[in-house]
Order: sequence, then C-alpha cells, then structure tokens
Amino acid sequence: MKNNRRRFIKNAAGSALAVFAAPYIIPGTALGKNGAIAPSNRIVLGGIGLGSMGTGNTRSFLSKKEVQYVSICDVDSGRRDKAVEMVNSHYGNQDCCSYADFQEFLEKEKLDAVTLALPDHWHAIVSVAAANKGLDIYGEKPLARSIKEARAIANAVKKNNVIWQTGSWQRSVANFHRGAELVINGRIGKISYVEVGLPNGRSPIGTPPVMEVPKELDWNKWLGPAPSVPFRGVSHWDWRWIMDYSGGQLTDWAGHHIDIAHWGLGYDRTGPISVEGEGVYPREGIFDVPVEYDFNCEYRTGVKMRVANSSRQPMGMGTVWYGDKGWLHVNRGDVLKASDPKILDEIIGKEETALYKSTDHHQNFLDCIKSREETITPAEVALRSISVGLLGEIAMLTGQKLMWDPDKEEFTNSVYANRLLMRPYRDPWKLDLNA
Amino acid sequence: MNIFKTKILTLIHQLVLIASLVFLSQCKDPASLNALLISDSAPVVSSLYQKVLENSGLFDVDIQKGDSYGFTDYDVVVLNLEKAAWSEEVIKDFETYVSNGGGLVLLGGSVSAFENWNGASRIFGIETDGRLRKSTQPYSYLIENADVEHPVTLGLQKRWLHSYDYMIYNTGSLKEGFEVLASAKADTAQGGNGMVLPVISSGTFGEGRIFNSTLGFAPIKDHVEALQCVGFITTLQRGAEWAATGVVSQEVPVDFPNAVSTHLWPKLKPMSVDEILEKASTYEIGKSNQYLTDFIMRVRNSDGTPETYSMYEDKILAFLNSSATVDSKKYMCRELSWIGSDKSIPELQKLVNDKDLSESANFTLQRLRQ
Repeated sequence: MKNNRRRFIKNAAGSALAVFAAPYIIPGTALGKNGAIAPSNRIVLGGIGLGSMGTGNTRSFLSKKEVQYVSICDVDSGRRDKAVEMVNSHYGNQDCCSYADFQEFLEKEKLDAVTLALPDHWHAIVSVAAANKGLDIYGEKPLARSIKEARAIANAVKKNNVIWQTGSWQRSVANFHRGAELVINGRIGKISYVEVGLPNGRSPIGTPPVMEVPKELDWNKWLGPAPSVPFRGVSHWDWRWIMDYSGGQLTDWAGHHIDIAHWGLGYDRTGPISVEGEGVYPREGIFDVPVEYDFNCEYRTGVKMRVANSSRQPMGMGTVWYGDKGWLHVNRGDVLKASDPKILDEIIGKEETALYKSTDHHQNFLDCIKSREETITPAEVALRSISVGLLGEIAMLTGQKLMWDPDKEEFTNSVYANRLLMRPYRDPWKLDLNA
Repeated sequence: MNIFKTKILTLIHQLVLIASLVFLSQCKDPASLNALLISDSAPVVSSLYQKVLENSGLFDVDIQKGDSYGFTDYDVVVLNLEKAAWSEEVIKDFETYVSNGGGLVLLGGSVSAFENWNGASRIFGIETDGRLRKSTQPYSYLIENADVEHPVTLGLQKRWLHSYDYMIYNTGSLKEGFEVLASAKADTAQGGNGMVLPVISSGTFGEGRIFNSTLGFAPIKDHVEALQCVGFITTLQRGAEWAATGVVSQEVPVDFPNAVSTHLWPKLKPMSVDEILEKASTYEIGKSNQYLTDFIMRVRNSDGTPETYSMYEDKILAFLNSSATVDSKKYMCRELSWIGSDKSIPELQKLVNDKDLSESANFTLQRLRQ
C-alpha cells in the first residue's frame, strides 16, 4: 500500500516538462549527492492556499530534504506568482506548477501529499476532495467551519486511509507536552476545572462600501460555498472576522489551547455534554464574530471547562488545569507554571502514560507519511478540539444552555441548535456529509 | 464560576427587591415616584430628560419653575445645571431634604454648578473648584463599570460605548461614603489628561442616596444622540430609582450598548419589534445593518421557546412578503434558517425562482430540511 502510493519525482518532472517544454536539468542535489535524498525517495508535495499560513508551511516543508515541492494552487494570481517564485528560487529551477482551480490541481498533479491553508469555509470541500484522491494532508486548524463538516473530513480521512496532520503545532512544543503529561499522570491530582484563555476579539471596522474586486482575485472562487456577496475590501486574513468564513479568535484558537486542554485531560476522542455562555457581538458593520466570548462546558466526568477571551480569564492566555492537588498553566512563550514549582520537577515513570512525542510538527507529518502511523494531531482529535469552540459559538448564538451528545454528535435539547451544526452551501458546491 | 457568583448576587438582589417592594407597597406605589427636575438647559432639552425619566414608567416628573422648590414633595430631585446660585434658605432646605433620605440625581456637570455653596461637595461626594472641565468636543467613548454588583450596574455590560457626548472631567477625589460605579479614560486627543476618571458615582449623605452621572451633557439641539444612548437612559433610569428607593426593579434592556457598539433609542424608549423591522426594511449592503442586528439580538435574547420563535418566524415571513429591500430579505432568510419551521417551507419554495432571492431561499431550505 505505502509503496504503491508513493509517486516519484520523475512523474512531477515529466509534468513540469510538459508544461514548460524547456530543457530540464536535474541539479546535483536532486540526484542525492552531498547527503541529499534521491528524488525517488522524496515526498512529492503541493500546497493549496498560499496566504500567510500557507507560505509559512511551504517555507518549512521546502527546508525538509525529503520533500520535493512541485506545485501550488491559489485563487489569487498575485499569491500564486509569489509562491511559485519562492519554490523555484529554492530549487533553482522553473518547475513549480501553478493552478487557480483546486479541482484541476488535484486532477492533474501527481502528489504524495498536500498542505492546505484556506479560509475555514473552504476546509471541508478541499480536504474531502484531497482525501478522496488518496493524498496525505497537512491541514490548517481549525479543522472546519462547522461540526458536520469536521465529521465529513474525519470520515474521509479514515475511509481513504490517508495520513492527516492538523496545524495544531503546540502539541509539538516541549512545554505543552510536558504540562499535559504531568496533568494526565495526576501530578496536580484529580482535575475538576479547566480554564482556556484565547485572544480578545478584533475590533470591528464599521461598514465598508461595496468596491471593485482586485484584478488578481477570483472573488467568486474565493467565496466558494459561502453566500455570494459583493466585495467590500475584506478577503485575505480579515475573513477571520466574518461568520460566513470563520468564528473569529475563538474558532481560530480552539485548535490550540482547547486542543492542549483535551490532551492533558485525555479527552482527545470525546466532547462535553453541556455548553452555555455569552458573547459580545458588534451591532454594526461587516465584522460579526464575537469580540468577547465566555462559555462553560461540562464533561461526563464532571470536569468543567471555561473558555473565554483572555482578558476575562484570571490567568489570561493559555490552558490552566485545576486539580485537587494544585494547578498547572501552559502558554506560548515557554510558559509552564504550577501552584507548587516542585510539580514541574516530577519524573514520569516508565509505567505511566507517555504522551505522543514530537519536536517538529512538520517533520512529524513527513515521518508519518513514511511510517503510515497516526500523526500527533490526527483529524479525529482536531474534530474534538474545534467542536468545543463551535459548540460554544452555537450556545452564544442561540442564547441557550445546550445539551450535547458527544457520541452521536448532536444536541439533545434543541432542534434549532442542531441546524447550526452545518452551514448551507451555495450551488454548485456540495459536501457528502455521510462520506 | 463568575457566572455562578453573578447568579447568587442576582438572587440576593431579587430577594432584597421583593422585600423592598412588599415594604414599598405598604407605604407607596413604586410606579408613581415623584421626581423634581431642576434644569437650566433649554426647555426643549429639559423636556427630554423629563421624558427619559418618565419612560421608565416609575416617575412623575415635575420641572421646577420660579423660586419655589418644595423638595420634600419628591422622592428624588434631579439636577441638570451648568450654573446655579441658590439662596441660603434653599440650600438649607435641600440639605435637610437629602439628609432626611431624599434621593438626589446629578447630571452632566452639576457638581461644579454652584459658585457660592462651599458645602456642596459634602452632598455631591466629589471635590470641585467650581470649574466645569470637559472634552473639546462630543465624541463616543468607552465606559467601564467599576462596580458590577451595585444595584444600578448589576447585569449591565461591563464595558460599553457611550454615544457622541462631551466627557465631563471630574478630577476631584470622591468623599468617604461615595464610590465610582463607572469610569472612562480622559483621552488626551480630546483635551483630557489621559487619566481614568469617574463618569458615574454614587454614595450617601445622611439618609439620602446620591447618584451622579456625567453623561448626557451634549444634547444641545444637534447633539441629542447622547440622550438617545441606551446606556445613558438605562443608567439614569436605574440610578434615579435607586436614589429614590434604594433598589432597582427595572430589567436590563437586551440592546444595552457593548464594548464595540453604541446603541440609540431614537424615541428615548425601547423600539418594538415592528419598529425595528420597519427600520431594517431599507437596508442595502454597504450601509448600516444596525436594525437587522437589533432584530437578531431580540431573537437571541428571547426565551427560546418554540412559541417565541414561531412569533419571530411569522414576522420574518411577513417581512419576506413586504416591499423590504432584497438585501434586508437576504439577511432575514439567514435568521429564518435556524428558527423557522415547516410553515416556512412553502413560502421559501415560492422564492426559489426569484432571481434575487433564490440563493438565500435555498440556503434556508437546506437548513430547515436537514
């Protein structure tokens, strides 16, 4: 299976030759000299979505000697040109292929794996299509814009037996790993409560008028399954603040600090049973995600979790677990604090729970492509992380206390809330939710 | 945990409220508190303050005229003064009124209005040199409630934007027995000193309760927005009730402004759902969507029962059949997609072939048919 799935560099080179019809000289590094990996053993990679995250991921994968990055896809020609130039200048050739249409990209390119960094409203369609092509996928968090879309991705990954890595890279950073491992091994006792502090919301920009679409951007393709609306100057990056495309800081960061909270609790494959909270929403203007958010979840074990923007949390940003023997706080910037510093010196014995160890999130994906083992953040885990954020969003939007069945993945007390588990798609886009 | 704490406090306040209402019902009908408004604004502006107080449904408001005051006839006296010179006799009567339990509300810069009354700060609770300092122009500024458990501020948004108003710079320190209920930063770009200053405070003098709000200063003819601000109206109504009775019985309006959005009641009282929908019906993309979000807030803050959603569904279906703009109907389709029922389906099917609304109708049908 694994060998059959591996394409060879010559295939990609062949397609590049066909496109450019130019003399193709394979540089020495591609032939395996100087410690480089021979092309036949390289992982052939392409990327869809070359904004800031996509560019960062591409740069990182280009630095991996076992990768041959061969093609990119974006709906913005300016971004395509920049990405092609970055890839080509890295290899010192003109071979990187460029596509505006992801379906054509998936159809024509012979890849081993693909990296995805798209606005959230595009995640499900492209991820499922890539999985159905048998590609291994590095997908940016959050997994999807809605819980049903996230389920469709996880199912497609499983059905096609592809490797999935979520961009929840904090799991590959030492302080988060250490903190979660101390917690799951009971070093602060039995956990009763968790606080998750995520960034404060972006201030609204008011009501921009309708304006001309930049000539580089295919606006209709950018919108894709989202409702058709005229261009008003908000697309790249700032899509994050419009609910048609994202749930704001809450859903952006759910895949980080909620993800870590679950890791320490051992809740990677389950979810809360109730959720209730409130958000502060702009009353005017194009941005409509909450600028403040604050909700409480309860799990079957009785553990409660409060998720809120950081200025509402006593410890600010990050994840804080509270147990009957103390608390432990992790955050970016190597923050690892505990109620008693001695807790941090504890040694985890060989017979105890050892959490998955990775020190390089991109490398972990590549290693798993080769080994066919599960990555440190597989789709099922990402689904449970984003679900908490999305459940909170629905609780705030409905203004109700909602009861959730984490096995069936549906609300048990609100037909209205269940409707918000999916986002309707604009024609012609469809997603098989039962894949 | 904070939510839990707030709930306990709410419960305590409700119990106090019930006890107080039982007590009040034995001595006075709380729906007919008497207020005296002493204002040196133009009569048309003074009548707006009067209206704000009366719209609470709690107060009968007299506007003071001539030299006769008769403080003791009132449960609360509201001062809205820039310059005043009271006789010693009036000052004495006033001090007696407050110290014996009369309520007092100070508005705008009233604390610094009295040039010849050195003892005023004992009652008003704040030192002043008699000069009114304010921002160079009216603007919208962020207020943060310092005490969120006081009856006046309990349940309000902690941070909220006040509409277009002068900020009054009360730089003096508060007297003992007084506390800051809300504060704002005196923006240096608006002539302020960059400090966080009290904008709403409260305290007691003898048996009397004093509520001091610097808001609502700007409504000279063109600047009525400050008076239409739901934050100004709500805090004044609640503050006046508290000053008069010691409790607050009024519910917090769902459209109280928040940290990023001001909110106005053009008629100085809450808009009905039909009034909101009428305003919303002219929406075009690229223009203000505030009345559409007003409607959404009503739905979101409702009791969430099928009966309530059915009522809103009927309103939306009528809206879709009205002459409202295409853009406003698209917006309403979104809301209908989660609160609607089977009765919406035939109505939406009619719109599937409408060139403007087809996509929105399909959006809603997709959700309702899940």
